[in-house]
Amino acid sequence: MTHALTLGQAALDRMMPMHLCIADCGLIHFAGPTMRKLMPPGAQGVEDIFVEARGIATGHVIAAIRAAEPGDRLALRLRHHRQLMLRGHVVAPGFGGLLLNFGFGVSLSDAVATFGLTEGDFAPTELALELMFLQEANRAIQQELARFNRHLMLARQDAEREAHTDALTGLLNRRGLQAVMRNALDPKGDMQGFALVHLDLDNFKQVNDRLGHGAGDRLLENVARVLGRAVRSRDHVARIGGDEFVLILGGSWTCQALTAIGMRIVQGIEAISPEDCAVSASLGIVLSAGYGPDSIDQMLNDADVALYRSKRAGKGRVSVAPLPVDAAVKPLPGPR
Amino acid sequence: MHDLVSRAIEKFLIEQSVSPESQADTLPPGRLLHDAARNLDKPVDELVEDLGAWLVQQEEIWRLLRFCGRDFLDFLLRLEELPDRIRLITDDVDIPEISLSRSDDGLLWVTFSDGSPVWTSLLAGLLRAMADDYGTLCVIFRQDGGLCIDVSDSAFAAARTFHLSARGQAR
Repeated sequence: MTHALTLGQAALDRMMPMHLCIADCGLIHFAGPTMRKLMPPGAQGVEDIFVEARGIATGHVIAAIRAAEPGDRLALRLRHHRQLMLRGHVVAPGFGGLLLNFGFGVSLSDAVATFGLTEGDFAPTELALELMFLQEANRAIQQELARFNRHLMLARQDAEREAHTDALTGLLNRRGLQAVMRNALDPKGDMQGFALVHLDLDNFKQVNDRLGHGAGDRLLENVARVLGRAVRSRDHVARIGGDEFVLILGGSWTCQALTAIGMRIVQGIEAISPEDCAVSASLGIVLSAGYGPDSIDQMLNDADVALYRSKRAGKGRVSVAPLPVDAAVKPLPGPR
Repeated sequence: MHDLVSRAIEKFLIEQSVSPESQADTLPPGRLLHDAARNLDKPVDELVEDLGAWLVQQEEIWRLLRFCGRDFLDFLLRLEELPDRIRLITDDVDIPEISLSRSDDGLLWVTFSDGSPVWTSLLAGLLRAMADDYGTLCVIFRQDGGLCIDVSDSAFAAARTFHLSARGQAR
C-alpha cells in the first residue's frame, strides 16, 4: 500500500530549506528559504540560478534535470558563483512539475562564507554544522602540529650544529670536519677538488705553562680569527684537538699558491703570539686528487706526515705532500 | 593529542604567571596543575575552573564551542554530545560521559559518569565563561559531585557575535 502526502509550503520550507519547485519547462514556482538566498534577484527559471557542472550553454540545466533518473545525483553549479557546486536530486510529485532538493556537499564552507549562512539555514538533519566543526578542529590541530614540527626541526638543527661545533672557538670540531670532508670527497658532490691544510701551533705548551690556561684559550680564539680571515667564506676551518686545526680550501691549487697562503697564516699567528712565547705554526698540506669518500682518515694521516716534516725541518714552515701514486697526475700551472 | 593538552595547560599556566618547570611537556598534566596551584596558593579545583574559563578565551576553542549550541540553553541541552564531539576529533582523550537532567524546579543538573572532580571543575569554569559569552545570566554551583545550573535570564546581554564561517567573520 502506498501513502500520499500533502505538505504545505511552510512545512516544506522547514523540512527542506533548499528545495526548488519548478515547471517542466524550468520555470520556478517556489523555493525554500535557503535556496532563495542563493538565487539571483529576479530569477525566473533554473537557467538563471544554475549552470551545468560541466559546460555553460543555456538550456542544458533543465535538460539535465529532466534526464535524471530516480536515484541519480544531480550536480549543478551556481551561475554567479561557479566555484559552488550543489548536489541534489529530483522527484516528480504528481501534480505536474518537478521538486528538487539540494545540499552543498564539499562546497559547504565556501557557501556559508559567500552567503553568510547561519545554523537556521540548515535542516536539523543536515550535518552541515558538524562538518564545519570538524574542519575547524582539524585546521586548529594541524596548525598546532605544524608548530610542534617546526619546534622539533629547529631543536634538531641546533643539536646538529652543536654536535659539529667546537665550543671554544665556534669553528667546526672533528665530527664537523668529517662531515665536510665526506661531502667534499663525494664524487657526486659539487666540490671540484680541494686542499686540506693541517696546522699545529708551535710552542703552544709554553703559553699554557707560563701564562695559564686562560691565556692559552684566548690565544686559540685569536688563532681561529686569523684562520677565519685567511680563508674565503666557502672554505671550512676546524679545530680537531688542543692546538690542531684543519682548513678545507675548495678549488684546484698550485703548490706555490698553497705555500703562499700557508706562510701568510704562519706570519699572522706569529703576530698574535704573547710576548716571549714565540708561538708559530707548522703546516702540512694535502691535495684531494686521488682520495675518495672512504679515505678521510688516510687523507688526514698524509697531512699529518707532511705536518711533521715541517716540524722536523724547524717549525714555522709549510710542507705540501706529494700526490698519491695512483692519482691522475695533473701538470701544475707555472708560478704566478 | 596529549602534547596539545599539555601545551594548552602550559600556556595557561604561563599566563597565570607561573613558570612551569622546563620539562613541563614531559610531566603529567595533573602534576603540572597541582604544582602550579601550590605555587599560586590556590585550591586545585579553583585553578582548574580558571583553566576552563581560559579555554573559552582561546579563539579556536571558542569557535568550536560555539558550534555546539545556538544559545546557552541549547548549548547546555546538547552537553551530552560533547564527549562524542571530542571523539570526532581525536580518540585518545579519555573524557567521561556527561549526563544531563532537569528537576521539576527547572534547574539543570550535569554529572560526569565517573564523578571526576577535575572534569567537574573544568566544566564549571567553561560553562561560566560560555554563559557570559552567550549573554546569559545564570548561577552555577557544585553539588553532590556534579553541577547545578540555574538559568535566570537567557537574554541578559547581547551574545558575542559568531559567524559559522571564520572567513565571514574576518570581513
